[in-house]
Amino acid sequence: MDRFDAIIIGGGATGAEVARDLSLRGLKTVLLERNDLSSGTSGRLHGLLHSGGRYVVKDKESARECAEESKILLEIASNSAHLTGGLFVGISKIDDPEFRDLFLQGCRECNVEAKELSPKEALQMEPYLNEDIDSAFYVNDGSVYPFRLIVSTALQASQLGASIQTYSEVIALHKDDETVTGVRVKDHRKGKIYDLYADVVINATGVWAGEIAKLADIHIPITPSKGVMVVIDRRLFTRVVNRLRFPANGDIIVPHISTAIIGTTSVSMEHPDQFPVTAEEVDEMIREGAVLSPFVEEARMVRAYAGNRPLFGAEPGEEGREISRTFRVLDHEIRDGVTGLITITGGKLTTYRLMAEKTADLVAQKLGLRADCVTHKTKLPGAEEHDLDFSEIAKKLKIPWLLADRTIGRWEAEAKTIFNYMEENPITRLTACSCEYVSNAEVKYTIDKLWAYTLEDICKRTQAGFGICQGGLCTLKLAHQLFEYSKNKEISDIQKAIIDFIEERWKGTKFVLWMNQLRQELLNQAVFSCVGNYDQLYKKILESRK
Amino acid sequence: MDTTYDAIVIGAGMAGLTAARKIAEVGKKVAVLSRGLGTTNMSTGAIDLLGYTQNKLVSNPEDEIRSFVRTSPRHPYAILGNGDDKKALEILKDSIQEFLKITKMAYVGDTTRNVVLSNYFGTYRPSCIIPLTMKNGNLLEFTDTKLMVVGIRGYAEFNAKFFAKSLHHTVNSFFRQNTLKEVVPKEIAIPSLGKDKEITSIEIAEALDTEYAFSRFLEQLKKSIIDIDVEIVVIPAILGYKNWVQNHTILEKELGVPVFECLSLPPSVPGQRLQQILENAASDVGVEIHRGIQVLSAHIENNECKTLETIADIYRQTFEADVYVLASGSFIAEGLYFDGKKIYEPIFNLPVHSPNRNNFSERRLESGKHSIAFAGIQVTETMKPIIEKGDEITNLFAAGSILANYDYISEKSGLGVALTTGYRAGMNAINKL
Repeated sequence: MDRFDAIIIGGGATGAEVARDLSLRGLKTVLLERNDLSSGTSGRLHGLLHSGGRYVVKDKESARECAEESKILLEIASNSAHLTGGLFVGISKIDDPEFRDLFLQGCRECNVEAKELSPKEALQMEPYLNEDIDSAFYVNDGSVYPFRLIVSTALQASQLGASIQTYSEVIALHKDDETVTGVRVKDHRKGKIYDLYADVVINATGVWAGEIAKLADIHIPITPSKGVMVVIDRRLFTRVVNRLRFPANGDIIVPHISTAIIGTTSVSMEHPDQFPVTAEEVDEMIREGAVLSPFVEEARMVRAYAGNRPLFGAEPGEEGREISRTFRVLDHEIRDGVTGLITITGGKLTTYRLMAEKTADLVAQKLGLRADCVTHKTKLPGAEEHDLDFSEIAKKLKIPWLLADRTIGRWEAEAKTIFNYMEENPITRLTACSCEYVSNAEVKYTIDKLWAYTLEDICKRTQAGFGICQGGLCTLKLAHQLFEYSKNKEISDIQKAIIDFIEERWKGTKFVLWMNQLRQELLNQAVFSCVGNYDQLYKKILESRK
Repeated sequence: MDTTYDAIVIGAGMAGLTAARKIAEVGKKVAVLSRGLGTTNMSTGAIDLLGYTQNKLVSNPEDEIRSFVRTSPRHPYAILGNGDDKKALEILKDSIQEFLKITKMAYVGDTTRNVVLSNYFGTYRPSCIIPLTMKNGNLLEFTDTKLMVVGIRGYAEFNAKFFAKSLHHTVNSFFRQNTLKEVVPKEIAIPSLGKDKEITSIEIAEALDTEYAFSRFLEQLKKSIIDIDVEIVVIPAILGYKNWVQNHTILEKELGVPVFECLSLPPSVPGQRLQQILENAASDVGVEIHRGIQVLSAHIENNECKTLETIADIYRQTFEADVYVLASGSFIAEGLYFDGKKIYEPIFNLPVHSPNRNNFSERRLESGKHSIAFAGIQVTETMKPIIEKGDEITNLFAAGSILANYDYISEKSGLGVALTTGYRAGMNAINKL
């Protein structure tokens, strides 16, 4: 029988961080995720590192938390969190001028640093801004690449002894009287069902927390609140740009490497698994994005996607944005008389570390453990100081300097492992994805060390396939790597992985297919269907695996 | 530059170049105006006539195309014969015969019999009129066959080990009569291209046109085949741009076994060879191919197209001809545009037929379900675009992928429709002259 101090359900930012926190406090943990790490809400957001500015008027508690936490993240996760800086701009004649004073007052109250700029200064900083602005503030906003943040968090936890189990779904909770003692797990990769036991089970499933609680006959009021985002093919702004107004749809553009993400919406949903993108929402994002920058309309839309925020405690009839974005740690012993189960939900990506800290504090208290949280001063793998120099590496390994530069940009100190692979085996120096400059070695690294089992898993970790071709040219090359480096995979599994990936990418691209992105899609169809014939063969390929 | 012609063809792909050649052959002065390189460059180089109907593999394209006259009368193949299935087939066969002739027999195929070819994914697809270098790759002829597949070091697009496993699995589990005994992967290096450097199919093909690289390539191949008792050798599509036929002949002779190239990803070497064949054949009969010229608009008067306004870089020019052929392609070539709301044809502003407002299907790999693929220009039996309100442009013909009512993606019919409709549009243009 496998016994742990704590079982953590949910491989999003919070779950991974709870695993890291508890491991740093010396506990033996296992993390269970039904899909891939960061496949839920944590991987379906616009990747804003909140300065707190967004919340200073309507949700002061969240604003304070964000202001503190974003500073910590820039220290401990410098490989995935970046201080881009941010602007809040008021559009003349559209945005309510009275919001300016509320904003300033809120920033002061919540310790959110904000510096007023003249419209001219703002336009000098961001030349692609709408010229019709009448007020502007600078704040310490940033961007986070959630996939690598979470994978790095899980990596550190596992280096400290945590077991990371993805594609492992909790299908039942074991209960002894009113005590939760363990979980029943379905391993989707191996098709096995098994049991795990622990002193504490932590439900860190975010918007799905109600579903897990149901397994213990506990009700948690969570309203899924859908947000839709659109990715454009260019980094329009150097900094995050927000509208200076009450939070509303389409009021932010977050730059990410060579792209930018326009967000977002807030629509209450019935079920956490339900987050459809509609053509109207995509149109609205583009329309509102174009108010921030007229250049949005010229850009190529690369994909659209959506995620569900977990809003805790929404009563019927209350709209999504009204409810506080702050988080809750639920001690079910006190709340429901069920011991051995703790739920953490609500909150936002920027505050995930704090959420995990509070949860781990409660776990420590329950287990009588005297160990303080150290996550705020423990850097994630990759975030430590390093002296990697892309030009030296490019020269030494005879690889394009852009490949070296991008690899370091993604993994910082951890890039050493990737360059070591290249040194050992020169063939891994070849490029797998030429849009985002991802080498075979980097792909191998994610398969060997970072729990990548599918093409989509590889892409989330490396950004391969996330460029303008959206996988058209690299799918086959990535499949080669999955075939070369993953263990116990039959060729039919790889063929299925190709089909799954083609369909997975389609979920985001099908909403933005016009002009150049339509041409791109038809070119991709030329690869997948005209050459690979997957449109005619996919059924046979899937059937042949049974 | 001369700007007055008997006929002007817009578009330098399979359809446009076939039409232009046809018209020039009877002594007319013809120009092709081409904005890009021609989308045939992006093709596999194998000419599909019809690979699937109703998602069933077609074994005899002629039979299916004959029945189109009844079952899908608006399909471009049905329009070829103007309701007469014999006529449609006659045009099909004539156009293929002429095509084979201009390739100087570097292509082979039989319009009553599809072949089934392998590709870089290690899957398969039907095709019909194919380069000589692919002739020995018809999977329908394999029974318990032992293949050797050759990868090239540094050429990342083609992975011999992956191809070997994948093709072996695919053939043995999906084919009823055909089997592969074994597919043995081998990797060789082409020294003149450097070691451990990433190389593309274009670089390899250019190298293999030189005797130096080809002789070393052959040497390596010979070495790798020793000790392996293989019946057929598979190589990626890299055998050169100029000397590919000759290279292939030498390989088969020296290795003593059949050799074939498999279908590759765009931009494929065989696709570029095909483009070159078409351009050479057109130039040989006097067609002038003007590149980098975008046609902006047409001047229509009394239902006749008088002139075309064009732009090349910043230079505007007016072109004039007695007849015009519109073979500007579909969305990829920008013969059609879709702005998210409406599909339009930018030059003549012709009405675009689109069967459904929902352009895309829920699944990406759902064959024949993306209705945007069926969008295009509808034409009369003489290949003239159908215009609403009884209007007609009497001297304009359309051909190729700009045509509506067929889905080249799921049917596997792209180059076949382009070739036959281009041929037909060319003939009709001659009649008009």
